[in-house]
Amino acid sequence: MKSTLLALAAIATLGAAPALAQQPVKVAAVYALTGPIAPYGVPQQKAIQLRAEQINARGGWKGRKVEVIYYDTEGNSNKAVQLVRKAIETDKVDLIVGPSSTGESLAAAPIANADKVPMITHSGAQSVVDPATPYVFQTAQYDRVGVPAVLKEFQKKGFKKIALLTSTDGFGQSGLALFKEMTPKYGMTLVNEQFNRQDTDMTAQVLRAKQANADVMMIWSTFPAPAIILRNARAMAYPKPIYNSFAMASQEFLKQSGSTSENTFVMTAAMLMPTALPDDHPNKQVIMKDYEAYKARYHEPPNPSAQHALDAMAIADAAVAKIHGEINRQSLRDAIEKTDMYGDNGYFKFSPTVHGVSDRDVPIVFLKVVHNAFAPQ
Amino acid sequence: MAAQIFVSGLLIGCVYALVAWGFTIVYNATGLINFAAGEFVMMGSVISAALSIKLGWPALIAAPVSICAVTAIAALMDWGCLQRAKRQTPLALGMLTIGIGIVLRGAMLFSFGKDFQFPPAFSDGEIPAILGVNIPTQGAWVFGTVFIAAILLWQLFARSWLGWSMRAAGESRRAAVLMGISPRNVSTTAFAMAGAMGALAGALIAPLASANYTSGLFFGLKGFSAAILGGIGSPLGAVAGGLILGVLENIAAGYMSSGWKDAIALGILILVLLIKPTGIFGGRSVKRV
Repeated sequence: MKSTLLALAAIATLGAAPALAQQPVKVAAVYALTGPIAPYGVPQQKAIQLRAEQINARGGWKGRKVEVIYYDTEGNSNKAVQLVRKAIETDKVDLIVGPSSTGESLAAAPIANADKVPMITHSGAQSVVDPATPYVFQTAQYDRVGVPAVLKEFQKKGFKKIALLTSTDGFGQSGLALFKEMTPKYGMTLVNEQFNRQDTDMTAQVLRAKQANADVMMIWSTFPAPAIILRNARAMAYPKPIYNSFAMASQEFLKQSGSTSENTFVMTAAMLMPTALPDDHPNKQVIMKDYEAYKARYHEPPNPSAQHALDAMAIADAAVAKIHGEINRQSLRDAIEKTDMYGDNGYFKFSPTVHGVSDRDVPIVFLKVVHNAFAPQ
Repeated sequence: MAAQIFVSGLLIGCVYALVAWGFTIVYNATGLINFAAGEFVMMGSVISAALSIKLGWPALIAAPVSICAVTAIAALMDWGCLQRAKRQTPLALGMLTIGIGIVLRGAMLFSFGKDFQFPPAFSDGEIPAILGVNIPTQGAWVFGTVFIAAILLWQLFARSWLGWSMRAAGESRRAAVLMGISPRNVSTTAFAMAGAMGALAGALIAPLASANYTSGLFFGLKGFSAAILGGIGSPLGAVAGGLILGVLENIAAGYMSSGWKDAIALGILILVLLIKPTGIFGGRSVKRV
């Protein structure tokens, strides 16, 4: 911060145009670095740091260094709004990456649009970029690309009837609507059972799924309900395969479910286990490269949430290459809208109406839980 | 399927019953509705989960320790806060219990974190299905412990001096004082007992339903509904109300619509109250109005 101010002062006194060219491109990383959703924000901060180092090591963007300023939202939407304002008005950033959660992104997006600063959020909900607004883009795989991946997997395994267990919160209901819309297209039928996220026993729902004689059970819910359902299913020896949504692709799920998740399946972004992706998958090389780079830099494998930040910076990096004149807020936005590349989340083909990842070849894999660890099928 | 749904309903109903009984004890002794009752359940589950997961204590030690801790917190809440309030009206004290509940929730968040924890069950092994009904091992612990606790509490209230004085203080505070009963001690004892019962419920259900600092509201609401359904003030009503609510919820989820489960169960609660406003086993409470 201080050095930036000093640099600004130096430029002001010299008033020289060439000095401006050496001024860094400022990127605001607005993440929850503390608080309840810090498990998402911290790997994303590391991912941005990694990308900035990579870019600066090869000379920055058009000779200008990339300077990242980190802001801690604590997972709080109000705070995210304040910090985005601060980044735009006080720190004069050229690009905003983040926030990580849907709530924060929905709150912060209007500011980016009003102040005309490009923002690449990592929200898991489609509502942030549907309909697309001029300055807001999104990198995370949302449920509209996740559900077809599930249905394709089920088709491959020959399942005809799905018992879908959804929570009555936003995540569950959004998933339910998509399954209802898409299941018929794959020639499958759906039975749905619901529960409140805080419910303590889902025996009745599992019983109904068992009686419906579905080929597979799909659980679409956030913590902690899936772990309870697995306990209930184990207690009554539920006979069919059980799948969990990508909300459960974490060590936390293994910890909560213990032995009851044995031999069940979890869908996840390939970043959790890139080797599970087939070699001919178009995203495989990108993901392997990012996975290895992250691991080499931090001596730990990346959490799948890191890929949203890795993609955001990769998109910005590719956009800069398309800019002919000066790098500023407007030229960055226009170039980002022309993005056409394979990232860690999938294939990005932005247009004035599409500001999120496409559902083509989504790098989602289905892992099996073996000895309380994720393993390729 | 019917038997399984019934038994699962009874299982969660046992937990509701303990919370409802806690409401009843405090109500009978002080005339107060203790809105922090759900937080006792939450603390019982969070503390026992922390002891058994983070410190590796066996569940059969972690659970009693957490019950003692919550009992002490509940007694302290009454002695240190409610009894010292300037305005001793039911409304002011009721609001205080809401405030204390929020403080307790925050305290648990900061002390034990926000994660959902599943502590190990009290014992290993699996119970074979009886007549097609599966009961998890922890479920057997819930049934057994609640049954024993109910008998003990019943004896305490019906036969002991403590039970008499608690009922007397609830009936008429003034007359109780004249008979040499200290309403303050009775009130603190009532809170301590409600704390112990809530914590017992929390420690029992945590291995099945997870422990988290936010779960208090849920259990408080369910326990309160059960107490109202049974007729507030009646211990028998509290137990019956809890079991009925648990079974109703499961029948609604199993035979009607799982998404509407709570709405159906609470809709029936409203219906019962319209037909019999004092609750199924109530009657005495009308006199208070």
